[in-house]
Amino acid sequence: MDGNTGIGRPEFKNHERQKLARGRRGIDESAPGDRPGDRSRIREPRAFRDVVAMPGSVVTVQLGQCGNQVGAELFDTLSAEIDAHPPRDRAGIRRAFFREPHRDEHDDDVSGASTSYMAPVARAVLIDMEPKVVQASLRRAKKTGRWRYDGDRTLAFQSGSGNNWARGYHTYGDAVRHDVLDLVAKEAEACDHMGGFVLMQSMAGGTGAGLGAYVADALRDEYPTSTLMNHCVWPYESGEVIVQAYNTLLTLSSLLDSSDGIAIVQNEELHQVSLFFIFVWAISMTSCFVHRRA
Amino acid sequence: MKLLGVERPTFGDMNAVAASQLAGVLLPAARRDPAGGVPGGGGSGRRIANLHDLSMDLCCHAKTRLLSLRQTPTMPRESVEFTTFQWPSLLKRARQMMLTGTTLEEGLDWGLEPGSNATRAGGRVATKSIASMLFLRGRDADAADATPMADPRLYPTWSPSPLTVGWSPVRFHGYEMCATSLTNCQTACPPVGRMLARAYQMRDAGAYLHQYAEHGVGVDGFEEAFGRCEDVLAAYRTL
Repeated sequence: MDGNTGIGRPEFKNHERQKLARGRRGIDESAPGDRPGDRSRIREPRAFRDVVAMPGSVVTVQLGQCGNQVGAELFDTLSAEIDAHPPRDRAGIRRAFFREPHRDEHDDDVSGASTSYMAPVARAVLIDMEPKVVQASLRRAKKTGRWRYDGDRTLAFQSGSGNNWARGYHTYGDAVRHDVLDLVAKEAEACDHMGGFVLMQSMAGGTGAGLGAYVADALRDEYPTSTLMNHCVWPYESGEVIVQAYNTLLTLSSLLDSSDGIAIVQNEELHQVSLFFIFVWAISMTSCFVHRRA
Repeated sequence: MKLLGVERPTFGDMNAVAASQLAGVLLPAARRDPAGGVPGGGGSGRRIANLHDLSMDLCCHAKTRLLSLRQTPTMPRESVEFTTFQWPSLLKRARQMMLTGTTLEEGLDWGLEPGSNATRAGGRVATKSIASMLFLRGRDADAADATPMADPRLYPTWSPSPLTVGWSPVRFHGYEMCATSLTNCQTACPPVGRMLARAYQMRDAGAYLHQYAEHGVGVDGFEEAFGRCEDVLAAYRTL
């Protein structure tokens, strides 16, 4: 196994670089048309469908409990939204986030309907210290019947990071580097055109924050020209974890080096929006009830 | 907390909100001019190459890479069919959310004007943005006038192309129209500042430092991390 990957990886890296180089050239060619004043390269406007037919594929890395849960929710949303597109556009857009399952692929043994076997597979790598979170995400996806995760793209251990950023970054990071990069490489290799990575994590804990920051660094080393975006959940200020101030700042400071863009999503505000959801829902239910009685 | 006898939101509810914001950005969209009208104009209609453009348009400097996601409207699916949507009001709201530095569309401070500072606006400070990407999805998304979001007073003068607009005719989340924005702005700075204050307090008390030292993050490591976060705040403060 080790010998195998040792031979396989350098070849893949060159191959991937060529792909990336092609992708970049393609983008650069059309860029001058964007500058005001440069009118020489303007092309005929095309229909929306032609313009968006081939978005670059995104490989998602879900880290820690929060990252895995938000990630599963993201693929669920994407899957539903892709179905809202006209049938002729769906396949092209789906390719950006999902890949077609292989017939010979090992099906994970998580219980679920066998009809989901041929469902599209999320271009995702799932990482957590505790297997139960990863298993829950796999099960949840499979239950939808519309999409699923690849059970071979997961990495889990039997111990937690104890909400210690340093433990997640230094101690576990070095230990899992090879395995993580191997999983990500397999997923990236499955893309015709790789558009970049999205890493999903929380900032307060040990695994998503500490190991997540390590994985971002490792991906930056391994894929220097790829776009790397981080979706980070900012903790409640009242405190979920006693050392969250340390963990959050260590994560932020580390990602400043590796990430191309750090989207910070505050739990406090997500909470407020959800509360508003419930409020509106309750109001509409109440008025339905009143109408029915009237 | 209980509201009308309904329980507090679960993490599942909150994750769904976060996923919806992110999907609103990641799904394909074509470029257009802020004023609307896809034909004509340099580069209009060129597809947004997903993540690559996000990083090129929004994050040109190493120290200013903090992004905020916003989406409007936000409402349960059950309420969508009873709601009328209008692009002008949606985009006005999107702009005010950006200006007040909130991701909540309820309880907006409508009195705050671009460019106001603490002395003029009674303690309220307008949030500045470096650059923003706006994704319009749904009916007439190709023509809706997004110029309020392109107001030069929202951005520093040196920002080369502050607003990128993408559009798609496909409805999002069942909404007749929906605006999602990803903005490089000062929104995340106050929380970072508060987190720093808390971290300094804990460090000065020597709290839990030994647990980090055991795994290779010593006092110097903390010092460096805090310093870099201070640098980020300083970079955003000069906008």
